[in-house]
Amino acid sequence: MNEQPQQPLSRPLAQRVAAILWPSFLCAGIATMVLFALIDPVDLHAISFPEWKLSRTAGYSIGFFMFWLVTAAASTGTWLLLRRSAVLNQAGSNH
Amino acid sequence: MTSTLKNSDPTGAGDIGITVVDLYTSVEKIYPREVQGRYNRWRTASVWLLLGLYYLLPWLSIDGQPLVLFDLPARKFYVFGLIFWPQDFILLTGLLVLAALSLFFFTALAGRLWCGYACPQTVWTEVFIWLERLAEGPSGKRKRRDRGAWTLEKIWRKVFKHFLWLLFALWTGLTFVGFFTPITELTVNLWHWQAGGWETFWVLFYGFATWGNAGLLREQVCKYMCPYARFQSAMFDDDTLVISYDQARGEPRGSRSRKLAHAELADNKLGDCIDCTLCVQVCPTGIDIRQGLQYECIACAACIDVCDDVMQRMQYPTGLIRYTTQNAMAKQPGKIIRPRILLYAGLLLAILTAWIIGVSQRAPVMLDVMRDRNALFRELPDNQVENSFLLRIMNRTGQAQQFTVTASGIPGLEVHGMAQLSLEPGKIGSLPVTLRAPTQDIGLRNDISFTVQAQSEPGLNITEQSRFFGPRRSLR
Repeated sequence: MNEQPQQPLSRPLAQRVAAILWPSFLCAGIATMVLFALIDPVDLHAISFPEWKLSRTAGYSIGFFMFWLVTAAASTGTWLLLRRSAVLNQAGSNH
Repeated sequence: MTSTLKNSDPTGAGDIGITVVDLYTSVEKIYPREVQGRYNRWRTASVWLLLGLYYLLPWLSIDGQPLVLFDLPARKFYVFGLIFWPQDFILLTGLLVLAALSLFFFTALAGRLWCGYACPQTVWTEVFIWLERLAEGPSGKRKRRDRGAWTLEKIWRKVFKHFLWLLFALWTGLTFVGFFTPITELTVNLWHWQAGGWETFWVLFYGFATWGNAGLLREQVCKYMCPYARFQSAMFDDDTLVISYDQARGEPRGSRSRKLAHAELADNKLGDCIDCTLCVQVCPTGIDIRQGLQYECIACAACIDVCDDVMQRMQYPTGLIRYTTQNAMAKQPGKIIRPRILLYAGLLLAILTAWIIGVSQRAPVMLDVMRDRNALFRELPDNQVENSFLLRIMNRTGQAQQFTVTASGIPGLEVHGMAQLSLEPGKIGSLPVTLRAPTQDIGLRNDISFTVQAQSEPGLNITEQSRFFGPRRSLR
């Protein structure tokens, strides 16, 4: 640790998880809002799985979590691609 | 008090480089020291106002109608006496754009006011710290106890803290769900363990998120999770109000005898900063403001409050750390009105005007008239001509309505068959309407108008233009 502060190659797990989950959470929230402003979950229910018993609240919630799954997957992909080669080349590293 | 004014550095945050590395490799818990002063009073007032509104609003109603309720199960939004439907989505979008632009405007003008006083992360963290102080005492005691062994006192204080936190977090979660489903029923149902599964889930989910973000993560949310912290610098310029340490006045920093008068400092090669490090100790994000503007700074002004207090004790002028601009610091002329401000203000005003017009012009009944596409007209044996239409009517009021359709524009024009439609609140209905007119009274193309009138309210009606087609006269 001399004049040039060395930044470690990777961040703590909690920060990585937070950086993936939080922005995707916000985006999923916006996407859910737009989708269900235009489409009533009851209508969606009628054309998808009418044999299941689903309330509107269940429809909103399932919609939100599906969006969150997708946005979090995209965030995770970005994180995977942005990792430095030095991290990948470290034997046995799971960062 | 004098002990804190000595040149001691209990946080070890004086060494710049090492601090940065430490923060990245393992997150060190920050124990922000309690602070008093005018900016802290502003923040406390802001916490009471904002959280007061948050916890109170779902319970209020006027004339039996909830004041604020985004009734998702019913797809109907009550906001201060107005009722919005999913079809009014454009207005909601407008509101979000307005919120974003206000954030840009205030950031360009006065820096991170949002972060320091209004962000939910800030206000909830503040309350969680109050509760923590109630259970575990002031920051110094907490820090010492955390480093020490597990004693009975430590255990009960921690348990008590988490108990308070959980109660508050659950109440927060309940209130959150109460914005989307009627809160009185929700509370009664939860009390009797009869609330819907999803509602219970969201109460717990939001409660858990509050507990985690405001109780455990705190400044890490601002430093590592907040997107706004990363792009707010795009709105900054040299005339933006920031919290800054006056380097020219403060340096060279160092300890000194309290007997040394302010006028004698220059002779002793000393600046005004006594290097007490209180500004570092009170900082909720654990930075040293004396190193200049940093993205971690949430502009809470705790360092200003504490430094002003120290300056008063030393009988120095206050404001060594203060709200100022980069230009003012560099003794350059500054401007409040500048293109960036004008642009944000202009956009803000334009969209606000459009939004207010949009809300006030919202008709309580909506009418679309579509002509039957199969035939322009039909000639009937009794010297009459018939045109068919499809009317789409939307009831945007809060009550069920019975609508009657009439048509005018041609003498003898009449509605044939059923011309009534009942609609539940918020519903859209289609009504096929057939119009008939005597052949001798019509031309090739006639302007007509449809009027939809609610039976219960004389003032509730809407008129839409359309056309009635007839045969060519020359062919007859």
